[in-house]
Amino acid sequence: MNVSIESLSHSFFNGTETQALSEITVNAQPGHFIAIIGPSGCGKSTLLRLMANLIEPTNGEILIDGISPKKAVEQGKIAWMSQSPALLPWLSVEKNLELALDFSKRYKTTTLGVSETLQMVGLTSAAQQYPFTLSGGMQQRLSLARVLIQQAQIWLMDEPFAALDELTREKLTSDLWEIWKALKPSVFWVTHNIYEAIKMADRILVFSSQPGKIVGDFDINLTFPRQEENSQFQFYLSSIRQVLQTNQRMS
Amino acid sequence: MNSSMKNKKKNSFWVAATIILIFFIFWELLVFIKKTPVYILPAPSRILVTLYENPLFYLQASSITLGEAIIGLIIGVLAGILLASILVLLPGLEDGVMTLAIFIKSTPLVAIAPLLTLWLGFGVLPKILITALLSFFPVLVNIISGMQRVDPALMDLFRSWNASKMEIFRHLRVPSSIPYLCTALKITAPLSLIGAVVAEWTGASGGLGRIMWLAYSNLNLPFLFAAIFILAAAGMIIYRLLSWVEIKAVFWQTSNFN
Repeated sequence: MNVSIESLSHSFFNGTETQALSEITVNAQPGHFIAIIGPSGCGKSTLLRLMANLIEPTNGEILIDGISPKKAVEQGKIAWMSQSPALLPWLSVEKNLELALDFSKRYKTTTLGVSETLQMVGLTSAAQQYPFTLSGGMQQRLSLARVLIQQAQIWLMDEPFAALDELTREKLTSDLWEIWKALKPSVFWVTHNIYEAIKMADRILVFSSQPGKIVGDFDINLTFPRQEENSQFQFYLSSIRQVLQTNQRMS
Repeated sequence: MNSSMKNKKKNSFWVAATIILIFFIFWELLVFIKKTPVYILPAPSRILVTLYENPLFYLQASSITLGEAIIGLIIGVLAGILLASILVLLPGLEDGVMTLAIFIKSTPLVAIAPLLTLWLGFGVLPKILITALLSFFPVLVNIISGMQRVDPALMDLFRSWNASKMEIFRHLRVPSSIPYLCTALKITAPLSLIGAVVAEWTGASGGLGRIMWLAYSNLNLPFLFAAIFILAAAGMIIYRLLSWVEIKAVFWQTSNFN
């Protein structure tokens, strides 16, 4: 699914005007895994919220296969995953997933069932449990399962594993990559972790500090599995760091 | 529930029972030593004897007062839930309706109660109405808070699903308000007993409030205190019952996992 973002700017008004994003232009091909990195408060999450139609842009345009984010959401083309697992605590794991399935069934014939999706994320044995009995990693697995079951073409993921410990995060990131490779949706993934971004993404967008502008756009041409020891990996790492540091000095 | 939790609960019950027992022993001794006249302060033993000697009398009065309190509570709670739901679904009405609700809440019910008795007679109706009015406001305010303060991350999720206002209400706002409803019930249930008794003071053909009023007029304090004992015990039982219901209904907040 093509995503075209043209001269997108966004400001928040809270007594005074705060510009979060400035003149963002991005074109993304279907099935790309795009990581967005940048300093805190640079508008990465704002961009995702604009794409998910959770807020409306002040200026500019987003087109998802030629239609607005509002229409894309109405047609069930977008799946959203945030840092908080956002699970309904009064519903069991299975029921949480069933609810997501009920909503997505309104737009399309889904081919994934609840038990199949739970199996994909390794939560079959926890189907009858309630979210508060799960670990942080398991809660995010359920959140990921909810994204999967929607079978949306675009996944908007706002630092989904940032609150987890390092080992769990690595495991979930690698699981996410396996799932993405099998299903090939277009992924927009906000992260603070440059290593993870290089390991996972086809393309990395680097944002400046507020107001967020794209100050680096890297196509990652590395074969999988990507090893940190690889010289090309190190090249990308130092290049992205340099862009971030230069921008930080300037701001 | 694991065994350590059970032991903890058992211990807290015995601690509470011991404190109450010490209080009554102290009271009994004070009356005995000071030789306090019964028309000033009767001893707990005298109050218990009064209850023992007049079981049917108190049972009948209690059923009237508790009936008024429970029916009034149910009406107040249902009205509070209904109005809160309307205000959350139609937020444009909130300012106007809440102003009226605060106006009613701020009017002393002690002042309204005699008027209601004058208008509606000495039967149970004015008592139920007073109790419903007392219960209504805490439920209204709490339910509105619960329905409005939903987790923003969950709200984002439902919006990303293109959920309608009614779907968000059903799947998100209503369950989110259950803990707030439980809190409101724990506040209003004892209030409903007070409401029924106060309403009975303004004129009633039966009930604990009427007994208290008549006993006070005749300085028959053992009868008055016996009614107070029943009200205190009923309030405690209702509160405990609601706490148990809360544990079951809001299991995701009260579970041992948290």
